[in-house]
Amino acid sequence: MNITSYLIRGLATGGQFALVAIGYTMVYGILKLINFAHGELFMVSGILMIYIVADLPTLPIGLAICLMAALTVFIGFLIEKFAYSPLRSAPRMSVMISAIGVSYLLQNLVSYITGGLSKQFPDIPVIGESVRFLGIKDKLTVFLSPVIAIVLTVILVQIINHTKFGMAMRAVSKDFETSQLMGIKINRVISITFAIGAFLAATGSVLYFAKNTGINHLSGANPGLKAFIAAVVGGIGSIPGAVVGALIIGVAESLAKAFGLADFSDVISFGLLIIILVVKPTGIFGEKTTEKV
Amino acid sequence: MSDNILEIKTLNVRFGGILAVNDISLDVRRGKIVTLIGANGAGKSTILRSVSGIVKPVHGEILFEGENIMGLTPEQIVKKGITLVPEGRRVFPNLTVLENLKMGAYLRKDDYEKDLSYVYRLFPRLEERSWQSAGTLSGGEQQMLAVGRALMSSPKLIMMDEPSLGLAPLVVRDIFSIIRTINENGITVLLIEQNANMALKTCDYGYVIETGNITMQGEGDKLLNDDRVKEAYLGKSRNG
Amino acid sequence: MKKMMALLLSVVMMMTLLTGCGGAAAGGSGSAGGTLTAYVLAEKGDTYSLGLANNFKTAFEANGGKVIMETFPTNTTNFSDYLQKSLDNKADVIFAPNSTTVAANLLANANDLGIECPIMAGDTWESSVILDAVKGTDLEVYCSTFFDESDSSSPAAKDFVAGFKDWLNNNSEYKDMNGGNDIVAAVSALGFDAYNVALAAIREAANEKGSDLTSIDIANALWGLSIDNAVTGKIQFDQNGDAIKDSAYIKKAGDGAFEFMKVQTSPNNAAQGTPADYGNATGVKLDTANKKIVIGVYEPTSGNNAAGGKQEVLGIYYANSLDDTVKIDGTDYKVELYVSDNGSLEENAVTAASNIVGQGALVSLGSYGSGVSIAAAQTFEDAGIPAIGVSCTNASVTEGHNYYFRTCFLDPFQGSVMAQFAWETVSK
Repeated sequence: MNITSYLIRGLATGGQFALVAIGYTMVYGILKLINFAHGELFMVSGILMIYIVADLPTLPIGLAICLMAALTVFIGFLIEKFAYSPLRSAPRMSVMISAIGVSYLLQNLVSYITGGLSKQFPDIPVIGESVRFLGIKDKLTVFLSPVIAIVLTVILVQIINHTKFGMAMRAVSKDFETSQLMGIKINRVISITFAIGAFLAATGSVLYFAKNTGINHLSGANPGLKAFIAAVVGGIGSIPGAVVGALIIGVAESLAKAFGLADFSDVISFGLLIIILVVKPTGIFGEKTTEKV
Repeated sequence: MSDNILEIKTLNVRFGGILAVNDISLDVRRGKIVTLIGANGAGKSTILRSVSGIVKPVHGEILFEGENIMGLTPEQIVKKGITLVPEGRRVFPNLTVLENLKMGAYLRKDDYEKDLSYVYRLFPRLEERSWQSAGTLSGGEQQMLAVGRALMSSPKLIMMDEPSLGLAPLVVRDIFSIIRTINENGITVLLIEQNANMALKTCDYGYVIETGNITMQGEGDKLLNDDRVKEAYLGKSRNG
Repeated sequence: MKKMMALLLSVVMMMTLLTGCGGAAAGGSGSAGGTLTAYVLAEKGDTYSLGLANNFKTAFEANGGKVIMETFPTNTTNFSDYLQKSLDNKADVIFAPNSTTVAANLLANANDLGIECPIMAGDTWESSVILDAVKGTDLEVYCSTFFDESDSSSPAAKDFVAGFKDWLNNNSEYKDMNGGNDIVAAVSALGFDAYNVALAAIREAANEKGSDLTSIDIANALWGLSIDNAVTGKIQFDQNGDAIKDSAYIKKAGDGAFEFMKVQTSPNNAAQGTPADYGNATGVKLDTANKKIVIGVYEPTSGNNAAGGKQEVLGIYYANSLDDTVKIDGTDYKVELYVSDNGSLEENAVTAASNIVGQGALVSLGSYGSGVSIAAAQTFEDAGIPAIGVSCTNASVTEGHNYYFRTCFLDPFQGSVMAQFAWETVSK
């Protein structure tokens, strides 16, 4: 058996999930909200790409990707403005139900537009090319995904740790009111957080759908769920945690298939989640929080 | 206009129908230390939070340097030169000491190096620990950081909500001496305290607030010698 | 306590991992020999997919081949790790009888991995989705179906295709029903056969009972029927009432269209059934007063399956246009069709079937779609009318329904046929 191939594909899936997981973890970090619509946003960005390429055939693919990312960010922003922002002082449960509502709304909208049929993601040059590397033949995106995920994460962590805005984000994640007293515009920080999450989801969706080219309205459910598990395993609220969690989940599921345990790949993800929650409830990179009541 | 840097007129604040602040009017004279004393839940914090723009009053006026600032956002109010040191210090535990101080200067576009060295002069301890994360500081150090952070916005008026709460007596004395120093450097101070004894000794003028109403006001030493105040607040503060 | 639980969990996980590992190792050593290896991939919980896959496995192994079968959970989108298995095991053929949604991803992944062996599936892959997925790749993709108009091996099929096309082109109304073209749909051929089966059974019953015949006699006659020259191959019914099919039509996904490859046969060992016990059911009597025989056509001419339903009806119409009189006791009886639309909906089934019963039909044909057929089975049974399913492939249509027959093969049969085709293709 060629273990390398499973490892590489596991890391690829992991890298793609990582970009989604960061969105979960960042929004949780700021709003303490599991943004259930995030997986759907990931799917929507894939669908957007299909329609952009179909409707604007003359547009170079690079620009199409930029346009898609911009639209995804805009949708992420709208979701926050209309579904979460009005509920800022409502109980957390209400916001979560709103998130679930948005997630179904996006699914139903896409199924209405596509008629529930699977659509083909366009061919993306470069990352869609087949290459042979380490004796494994696959699309370049498979080999690039973990690298891109890690590079983007490093950049993001640098921004958060070393810029004024990053500082504001960290402050807001701990204390809304005091941050306001410092003159931080909370809503702007939250909007930008959603925008970053949406941008990374859009990047992840290009990498993911360049490989898994069939998209329908349910295509976001599984990546969304796995990314969420990854975020929790890594320690929700922690960005490096989300990435490490996603890589672990990706590799674990891939290896499960290698050993003929494909049937149990979901079980393995959830098993991992349970073990982490039992041994270290805050996740691998999670910090201990003493929540003030 | 007048000597008052802050004038609050017939301020009313409600929380879900419950009256927290009832038609309160008070003035803070420029360059002075003014204190509000009163029992827990009397509405003192609510007044400061209204001035900061965090709480939206039902009606009334809040004039800062003659201009009504009611209805402005917290960040607009910070820009005008009002800062609040919140109750319980509320430093950002996940940020370093230096980052906390920088957060205080968040809205400033000018160079704040001078203010930073001023804060470090006031609190040498903070400079020693500038790279430590704020969550690891002791309570007294956190209070110093909270005050230092407020000073970083180069305010005209600094409001402090229970700065001595939960601190050791020695530290409390330090804090009050710092308050005086800050005031001597030209910053007006509006102070809330349960430690009425210390507060009245430090202040120029004081208000006594009971269940949302002002029941007494006067110079600090006058109130300090008032029998009713003695009975209601000073005795308690000594025991507590 | 928490630590203990974690330990326990990890031990369980380790054990499952290890047992899985052992299984895979054992599988790996076998592939070194000279036998042919097939990799079969089915979707968990999907009766169609699993049925085809299991039949393929049985048939392929019966030929002496080795089968590695895996199932994947619903909503899987990345099949690389599964397909890698086929590479690791040097599979000679991949059988993946799945939905077209699965196929779109699976074929893209197969292309990425550079899979060179043929990939095969059942009739669901006869779809434009597959053509799109195969376009521009070197993938070799096959699927099976009921019938193909390019089949020139049997004279019956050739005559039917030529005659049917001609008939369509001479009747614009019917051509419109066929979607505006003269392409012969598989279901039209099946409908044509079903009508002729019904007529053969009526004639058989008439031989025995004369003008006393009832619908029960027709049902009894169906069990003993043997038609060698049907368009879609020989028709005999097994103990379930299913046509004993031994062939299917193999097509290859080419550039923009499916190419007909061949009629693939696969032994079907089912024996002809014996008449069911109809007790003292009376059934429907021959209408001697009006000298006519009504045949119900129970089909969806509206709703989701309208397109297929109409094509099936066309096959029946065409058959009726060729042969519409039965001589009973020296008198000519005219065969009339009564079309009752079930709207592709199960909730319409009983009403639509009752209308057929109300018309005094002796036999009913249809439907396209298994769900509506199953839902109408009881109504036909209560009236004592035999029903001949045309393209309802689900096993439950005839199982436990003594009055239901069908002229098409069942879903899983395609697995056996494909195994046979795969065997013959790759062992060349």
